[in-house]
Amino acid sequence: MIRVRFFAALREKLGRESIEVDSKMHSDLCRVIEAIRAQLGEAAAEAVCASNIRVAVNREFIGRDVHLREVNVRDGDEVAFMPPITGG
Amino acid sequence: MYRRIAIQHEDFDVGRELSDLRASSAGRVGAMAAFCGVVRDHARAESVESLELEHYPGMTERSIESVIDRAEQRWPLDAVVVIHRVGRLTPGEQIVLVLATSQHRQAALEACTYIIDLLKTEAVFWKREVAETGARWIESTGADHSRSADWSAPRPGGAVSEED
Repeated sequence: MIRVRFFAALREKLGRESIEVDSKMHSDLCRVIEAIRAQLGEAAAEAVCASNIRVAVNREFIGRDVHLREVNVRDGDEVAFMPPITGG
Repeated sequence: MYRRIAIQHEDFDVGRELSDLRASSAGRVGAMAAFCGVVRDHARAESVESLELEHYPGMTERSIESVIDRAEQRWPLDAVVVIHRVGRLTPGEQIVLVLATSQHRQAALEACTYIIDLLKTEAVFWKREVAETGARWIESTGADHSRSADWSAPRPGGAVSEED
């Protein structure tokens, strides 16, 4: 399974902190978004694809210019969808 | 270079952190710079009741490590300490502490400023401001981003001062 996590405003919007996605069927981030659409609906899929949402796989940011289909994910991976961050 | 990163709910004691660092670096260090961020009670003309901070364990520490790595490449530092609180904080409470020590003041002061500037835009935290009129998630400002970007611009000339 792949664990998909939602943080902060996105978690509130989706009403979920995380979901589990079957890793056999979802081998790249596009398929993860398909799984979000299937489990949480079209609005959720749109929310995680918003331009200000950053994606991380196993706690590493995916570059903004990388196409989601180019990012492979596999069993045991953790994918995070993150609204704009700010520390300090 | 010694470094310590802590993400914690509990408060910290600035004086104790400085004393500990001074004791452990006796003789080597001639300058200790500190920045402590505190929760304000007003934002956008509204009265703030609390600030809720959340993080992503593992990734947040990594994002701070990356900022410290770059500071270490840029200045001759002896130690860096970053303590960042999470959870619910009220106005007047401390949020974040950055300490940077070096042989001379310029490196310590600049590194301290650099680290807090980059934490604003790169550290993996989210802040939710709760006011009388409701709650909202806050983002780094345009000013935060330009301060952070300024550090990527070529620096004006000038050697590091050898004075303390």
